[in-house]
Amino acid sequence: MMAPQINIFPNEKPEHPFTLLTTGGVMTNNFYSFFCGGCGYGIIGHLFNKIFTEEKLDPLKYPLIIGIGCYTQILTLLPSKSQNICTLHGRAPAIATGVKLANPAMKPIIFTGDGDCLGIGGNHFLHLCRRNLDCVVLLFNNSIYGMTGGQVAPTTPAGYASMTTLGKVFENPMDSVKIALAAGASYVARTTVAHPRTFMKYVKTALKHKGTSVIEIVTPCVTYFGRKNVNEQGERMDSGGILLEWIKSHSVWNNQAKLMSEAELHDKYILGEFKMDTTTPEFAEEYEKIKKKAKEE
Amino acid sequence: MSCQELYDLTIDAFNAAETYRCPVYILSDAYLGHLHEPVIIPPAAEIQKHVVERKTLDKPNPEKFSFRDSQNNVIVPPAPVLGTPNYPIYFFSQPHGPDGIPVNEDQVLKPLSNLIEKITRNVDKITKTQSYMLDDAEIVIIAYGLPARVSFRVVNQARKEGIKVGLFRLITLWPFPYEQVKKVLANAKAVVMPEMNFGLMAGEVERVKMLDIPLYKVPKIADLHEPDEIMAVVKIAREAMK
Repeated sequence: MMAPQINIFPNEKPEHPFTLLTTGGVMTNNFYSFFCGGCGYGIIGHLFNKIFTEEKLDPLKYPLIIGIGCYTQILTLLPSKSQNICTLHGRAPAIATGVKLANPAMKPIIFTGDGDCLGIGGNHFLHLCRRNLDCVVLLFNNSIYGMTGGQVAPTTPAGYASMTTLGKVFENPMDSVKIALAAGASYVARTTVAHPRTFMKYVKTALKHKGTSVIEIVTPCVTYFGRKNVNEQGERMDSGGILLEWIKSHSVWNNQAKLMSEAELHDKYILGEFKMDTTTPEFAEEYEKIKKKAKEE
Repeated sequence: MSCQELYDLTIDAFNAAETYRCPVYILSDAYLGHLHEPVIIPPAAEIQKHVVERKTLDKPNPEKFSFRDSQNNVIVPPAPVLGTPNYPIYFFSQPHGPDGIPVNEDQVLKPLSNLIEKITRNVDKITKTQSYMLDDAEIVIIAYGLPARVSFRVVNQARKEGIKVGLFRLITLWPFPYEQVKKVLANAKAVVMPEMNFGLMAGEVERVKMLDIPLYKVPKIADLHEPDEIMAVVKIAREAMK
C-alpha cells in the first residue's frame, strides 16, 4: 500500500535524496518531521532509512513495531514501503512475539524508548530477552519522559533535574544494558546518535544476528532534559549541539571503562558491544520444533 | 463452572474471537484454578469440526474493506495479514480508519458504531445461558461462575421442601442477554442473586427487570457461598411473598 499524497510544499524541492524514501517524504514530496529542533530522533530515522536501503531489506519480512513516546512520530521518517504497527504503551515486545511466532520468516524491529521499554513495559522487555526471540530492539534513551512533558524517567541520571523534581533527581537510574545482559539477550550494545557509524554497524550486526538484539541509543532531548540542566561549563544545554557535545563527553568506550573507578563512571554512558552469543537457542525456532513434534504424535 | 466447561468454553472463545474479530475473555477464578476434576478431551478430529477458520483479506485493504454488505447489513470484514501487501502501512492501536491512520473523522468515527453494532446485532448468537427448573419457578436464582454450581444444590433442596425455585445461569456475561432475562423474570415473584462480589451483575438485572419484584443480593467476598446461605435468602424471599 502506498502512503496518501498531501503536497503541502509544492514549490520546494527535497534537500536530500533519502527524503523521498521516507513515508513523510513520499506523502509531501518534501521533508516531513514533527520533532523539536535538536532532537536525535531525526538522525535515527535518517540512519535507519539508510540501513534499510543499503541492506535491501524486504519491507514485508521486517515489520516495524513502534511503542508510544516522542519517537512514535518517527513514522514519517521511516521507509515508505515498510509496514508499521503502533502498539499499546510498552507492549511492543509482546506484539513482536506474536508477529514472530505467527510467521517465523519475519524479523520484527522494535522501536522503543526508555519510558516505554524500561518503565511501563519493563516486564515485557525482560521476558523478550529471556526467551531470546529473533528480533531487534532499538531502545532510544533520552533520559526523560519527553512526550508527556519532561517528567523524571527510570533512566534520568542521579544529580540531574527534570520538570517534576524539586532540585535534583536522587533516584538511581536504570541501566538497560545490564538488565538486557542479566535477562539473557544474545546481542547487547550501546551507542549514541553522536556516533552514527557505530550505530549503523551495530544495527547491521543485529539484523544478521539470530536472537534478541538490544541496542540502546542515547539521544538528546533538548526541550526537556537539556533545558533543565547545565553542562560542566555552566551553560544551559538547550540546543542540539551543546547537548550532543555533553553526550559525547559523557560517553566512555567499554574497554576504557574497565580501567575507570565507579565514581568516575557516575553519569557516564558506557558504549560498545557487550555480548555476542550465537549459541543460545532462538525461541521461534524451538517453538517450530515443538509444533512439528506435536503434530507428528 | 467446572473444569470440563473451562476446556469447552476455551474452544468457543477462540471461535467467537475469529467470528467477530474482537477480544474474548475467559473469566475463571481462584477456586476453579485450584480445582482437580476429570476432563474429557475429545479426539482432535471431533474438535476440528467446530473450529472456525479465519477469513483473511486477499486484496489491498481500502478496495475491499467495508463494514456493510450489499444489503447494508453489518458484517465482520476479513482480517488483513501482516507481511502481505494487503496490510495497511500504518496500524495504530487507537481507533483508526481502513488505512490504519486515526486522523480522518469520517473514516474513524463512523466505523466505530459498526464495531458496536456487530456485537449488539448478534447478542442471541453470542450469549450462552442455562435454565434449570424454570418452568413454574416463583423465585429465580440468577447466578454465574461458581455460585451457580452451589445454586443447583439450593434448587434441588428447595424443591424437596416444596419451594418453587429455578436457576437461570449466565454462561457468558457480555453482551448481557437482556431479552432472555426479561422472559425468565416474566412470571417470577422474586430474584435471588448470589455473587462473589457486591452485586456487579445485579445492577444489570435491575436494568432489565422493569417489574416491581424484589431483588435479593447474596454478596460474598474471598470465600465460596455455602448452599445454606443462599437457602436462607430464598426463605426470606418466600416469607416476603406471603
